[in-house]
This record gives sequence, structure tokens and C-alpha cells, in this order.
Amino acid sequence: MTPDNSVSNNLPPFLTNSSSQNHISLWLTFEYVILFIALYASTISLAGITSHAIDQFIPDSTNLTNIIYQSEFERGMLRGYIATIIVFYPVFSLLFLHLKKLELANPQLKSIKARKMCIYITLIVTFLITAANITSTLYGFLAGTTTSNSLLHFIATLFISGGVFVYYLWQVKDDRKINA
Amino acid sequence: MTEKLMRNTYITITILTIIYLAALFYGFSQIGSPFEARHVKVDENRVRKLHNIKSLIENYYSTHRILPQNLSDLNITDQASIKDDVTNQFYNYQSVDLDSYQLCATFDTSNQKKDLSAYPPPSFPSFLHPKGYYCSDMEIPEYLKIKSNFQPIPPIQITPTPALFLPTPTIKIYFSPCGKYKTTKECDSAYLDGLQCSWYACKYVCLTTGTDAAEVCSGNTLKVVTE
Repeated sequence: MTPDNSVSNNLPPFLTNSSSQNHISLWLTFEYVILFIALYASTISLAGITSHAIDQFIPDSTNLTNIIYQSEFERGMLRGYIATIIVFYPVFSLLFLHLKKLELANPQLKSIKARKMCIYITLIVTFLITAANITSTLYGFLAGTTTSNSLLHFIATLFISGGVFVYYLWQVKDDRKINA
Repeated sequence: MTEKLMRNTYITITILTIIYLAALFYGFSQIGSPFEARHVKVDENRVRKLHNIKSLIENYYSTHRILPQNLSDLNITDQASIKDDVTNQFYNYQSVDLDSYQLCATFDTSNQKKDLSAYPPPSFPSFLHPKGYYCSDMEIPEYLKIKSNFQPIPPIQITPTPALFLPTPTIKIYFSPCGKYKTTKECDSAYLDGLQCSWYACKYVCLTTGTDAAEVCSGNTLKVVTE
């Protein structure tokens, strides 16, 4: 990756002190990639826990799967979600704050290729999840299998993936303003 | 402008943190504390081992037609498989009568809750235990038990072809179920020539005269060396 001089000129001292401009660019790329990986991991885990809570409080009466086995499987999944959040959410929140500070101090950072790529990948993925969720809910409604449980799952997924989608869509529009 | 945006970012992260903390709180309330989970895992292992011991006892019974006096009779090379992992003591075993016995262990948790999903032994759903020292009554399965009302089939008389320079013994063949300590007495003062045991029946071959015998045990088969 080629060093971006316009970016590095405005960077805070702790980054400009680096002997290699390449290092700065690679380091920021690394931070953005980790930020988005942490975002995906924490979001998927949050969605999983929300889904478990919905099934726990408003069970799906049409689900005929063996309760004991399903419950044990879900319990295992829940442990996985908790462990993932404990590891990835602090990474996400700290990196998010750190990079946001850098972006506000140096708006040119927003034009880093890795950041743009991560944002667009996130937009595509969240759009697909949201669209698929709406489609399946509509299909269920037409087939007459819509329950309060499935509606709540739909709302939760829409809220989480839709939230991420709207936030990064707003970021893209904000970036365009800066570049204009 | 920058300060306002940064303040908004802090507010967003604070709201997200609250949501994630709520999710973690819910998650922990569902799976229980890690210490509790550890106790449940240890108990699961105890139940698994007790079931393994139960199988070994049934194997022993099918071979010897009697319950073992103690667990060391099972001749297990891996002694750890009949020991508690935590206390490193042998599980308590005691025979109650000819076909039933007790296996005892000290459990850290109870799995007698109505919600079976709270305890995950789907392979051993019958082994419910309270917290603390508990003995489970176990019984040899019906298909392995000795049938007490068995009527022996009358012996078949076989007269072998006389051979040169050898006595000509009359051979009686008895068919009976495997019993406990069945010996030459079953053969009416004859010598026991061979006994093939399986879980359903034994075949006795008795020689009436002319031989001496010594019993040699080998696996499921009681062999007799004749001289």
C-alpha cells in the first residue's frame, strides 16, 4: 500500500513521529480492519443473545424441535456469544472512539482505502441481511406462519442490522460532503 | 462542531455499552455462573463414569454369572475410570442381592429439577441425583438375569464309536442356562468336559467314566483339561 502524504501531514505527533510513512498507513489499515471485525463479532453476538431472549420470553408455538436438545444447543451458543462480546466489544468501543478522534482531528483520514472498503462491505452485508429478513418475514406472512415470536425476531434483526446500515450510510454521505 | 460530534460519539458508545451490558446480564442469568457450570460439568463426568462402571459390572455378570465383590474384581487396567476425578477415591459399590447393587458418589449439584434442559445428560436421562452423597439403585437387565424356573432338557445319550486301545466313555450333553457356580455336580458325578458360556445359555458336555478333569477358565469359556 502506498503512503498517503496528505493524510500523514495532518496526523497527530505520535503517528507522524514514525520513521516510515508506510507504517502509518498500514497501522491505520490494521486498526480499521480490526474495528470492523470487532463490529461484526459484537453485532452478531448481540443479535444472537436478543434472539435467545425472544425465544425464552415469547416461545414459538409452531417450533416442534426437541426442547431439551435445542435448549442445550442454545445454551452453548449463548456461552459463545457472551465470550465473544467480552472479548470483542471493548476492542470495538475503544478503537471506535480512538479512530473517531483521529477522523475528527484529521478529516482526510476518512479517505483511507481500507476504511472505505470496510464501510462498503458492511453496507452490502447489512443490506443483504435486512432485505433477506424482510423477504422471509413477508414469505411467512403470506404462508400464514407469522407469529409474535417471528415478528419480534424480524424487528430485532431489522433494528440491529438496519442500525449498522443506516449509521454507515450516513458516514458515506458525510464523507462525500468532505470530499466535495 | 468537532466537540459536538465527539460528544455524540461518546453518547452513542455509552448507549451501546448499556445495551451490551444488558445483553451480558441476560446471558449470565441464563447460563449461570462459571463456578456453577464447572460443578455441573464435574457431575456430568461422574454420571458418565458411573454408567461406564454399570456397563463393566454387567459385562462381569454376563461372564461370571455373579456380581463382583468390589470394583477391583472388574480387572480394569485404567483405575482412573472407576475413581472420582475430584476426590481421587474409588466410587462406592455394594451389591444388594444377587441381581441388584448400588453405585454411590458425592455430587456437587442436583439434576432433579423439572427443567431437564438445565442439566445436560440427554444420554443418561434416568440418572437423576440430588446434591451431596447419593447411592443409585441399579439392577442387572432382565435379559442377563438367570431364569430360576428353568427346566433342564433331558440329556442326549451318545455312544461314540469304540476306538482301539481307548476306553469308550458315554457322553451326556446337557443344555441349561448359565448359572452361578455350575460345576460338575450338574453332570451327575461325571466330569465336566467343556462349558461354553454365552449370555443366553451354556452347553455342558459330560464324560461319565474313564477320565480325570481339571477346570481351566478362559474368558467366557470354562475349559476342562482331560487326562
